[in-house]
Amino acid sequence: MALTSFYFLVFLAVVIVLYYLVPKKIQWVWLLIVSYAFYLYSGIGQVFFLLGTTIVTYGSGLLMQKRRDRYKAELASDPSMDREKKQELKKKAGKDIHKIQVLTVVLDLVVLAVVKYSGFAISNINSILKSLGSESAIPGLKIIVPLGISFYTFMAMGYVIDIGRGKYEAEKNPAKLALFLSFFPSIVQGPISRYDDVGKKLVEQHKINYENLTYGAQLIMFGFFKKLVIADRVAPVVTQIFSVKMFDKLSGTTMFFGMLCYAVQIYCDFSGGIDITRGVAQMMGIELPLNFERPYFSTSVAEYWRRWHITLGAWMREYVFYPIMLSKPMSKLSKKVKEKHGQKASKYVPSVITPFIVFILIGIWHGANWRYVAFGLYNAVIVAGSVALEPLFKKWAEKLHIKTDSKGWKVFKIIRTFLILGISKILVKAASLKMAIKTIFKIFTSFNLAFGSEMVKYGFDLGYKNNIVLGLAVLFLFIISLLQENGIKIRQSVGKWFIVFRWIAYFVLLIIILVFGIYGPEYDAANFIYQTY
Amino acid sequence: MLDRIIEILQGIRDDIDYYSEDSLIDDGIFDSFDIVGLVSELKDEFDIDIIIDDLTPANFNSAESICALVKKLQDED
Repeated sequence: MALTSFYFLVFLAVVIVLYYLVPKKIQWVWLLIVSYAFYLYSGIGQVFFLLGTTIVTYGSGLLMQKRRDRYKAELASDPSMDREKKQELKKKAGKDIHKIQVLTVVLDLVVLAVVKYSGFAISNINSILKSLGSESAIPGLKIIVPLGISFYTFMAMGYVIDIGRGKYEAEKNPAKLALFLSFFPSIVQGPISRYDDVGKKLVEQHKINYENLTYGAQLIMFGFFKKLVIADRVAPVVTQIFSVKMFDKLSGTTMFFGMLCYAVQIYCDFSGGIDITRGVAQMMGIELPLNFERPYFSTSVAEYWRRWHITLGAWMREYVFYPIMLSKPMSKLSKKVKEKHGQKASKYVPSVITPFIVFILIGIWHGANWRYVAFGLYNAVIVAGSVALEPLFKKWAEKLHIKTDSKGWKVFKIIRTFLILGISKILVKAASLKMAIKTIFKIFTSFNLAFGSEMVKYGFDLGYKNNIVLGLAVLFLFIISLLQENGIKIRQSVGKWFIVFRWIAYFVLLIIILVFGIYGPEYDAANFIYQTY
Repeated sequence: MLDRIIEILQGIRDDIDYYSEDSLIDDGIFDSFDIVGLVSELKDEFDIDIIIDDLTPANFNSAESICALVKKLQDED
């Protein structure tokens, strides 16, 4: 059931009305029931993966908690215990907990790998076998990737690691943990929530609240606008431009235009979906974490990754980046470099190595394909390169007398970052890695300023009316984003308008979505791109 | 100890008044690379063991909070 489908809206209306009608004590139970009903709608077979992950996560959390409680009891039983003995007990408990933690995370990763990446691995092994002259091939596994597996598996791993670190106590009620991992709007495409934040909010009791209902509904409408009016309108153009059959026919300039369109499409598709998710949760008084903060206003690629898919970036920082950077091998390496090349070099070496690991993981997280590995590598090179070359850039700026705090320089950096990221998006969108590289090469070598005529010639121009709607919609989104970027809170500001104007604004947006939204058969919109990750 | 910590912080960025600034992390003045660099210097300078759990915004938002963290970790040792 797509979040933008008519059925989902009916489902949502029933869920919200009953959420406020059932006794507050069992509001969370109602959420669990509807979350599983929502999930079952996507396929009965898939639910076993979700259930399996929930049971393993719950059991592992409880085991670690028991071991930690035993250690605390041991300490409490003998107040006169000497320091050495205490250290020994701590070390022993730490080791036991670590074992459970690692085993669970490995199990999670194995399931994810088999479901998501075995096809990729098998096809690579087969192509190696073929190149070696072998005629035998490994048959592929036919597994349907369960809905939201990348999202709930990461949430489950985050929970297990947190319990292992002793950040908070393990959940004793398996149903509460099950709700955290299956909460229906966010299972589709995130955000990747954390148990100590969202897990608690989901089981709290919520009174009906006018502000939550209207703010949530506004966010949902804005999400619909981004997805239906912009993303799905521009989608066919992007599909055509990046299709293999069009490659020889189109100029690099058209492909550049396609790159810009795809940047708009993917942002509106993903952030629109997240707006709907967060809006739905807010209508029930549940605040989900922010996942986007106008990423295309970033002045560097590193900043972009703090503003795009924020919860994935935060997950990687907490559970991959910091652990590697603070690990013993890394600090040993850093010390060695310090002895040989001095303080500055010692800081740069880990700062250059770690982004490679993190970004390749981010790339692979998106899917099993060499394009995603290349996407990760590309981002890593830019981020690590900008850390390593920062002093050089500073010197150049001084020599060229650039006012680095001026507005003009900031705008330049925003456009530069947007274009650098545009290139990385080609890696994601092209049919294959080879096609992506050929497309990027073509952008820099084949020009045709009348690229619009190419689109008309091959029959995928949107037409005059659609182009106007798309242009105005993107302009509207840009203005809203610019206002937010300058600290204006749109929903709060609209909320203060005179009631008549306020409702006129709501109706206008609703009519725009209904009239200009792109709908498929049975008023179902196209699926979300991130739903497949 | 506070003065020494401020000296280390100035090595990372020298345009901040560390005596009054109290949102180094919340306001995005320090990014994760800065934090890791800072942690390794604090480890060397004060011979303490900083683990991931200590890397909270509250511990690194100001020179004073960093100082409090170092003192706490020294006492634990």
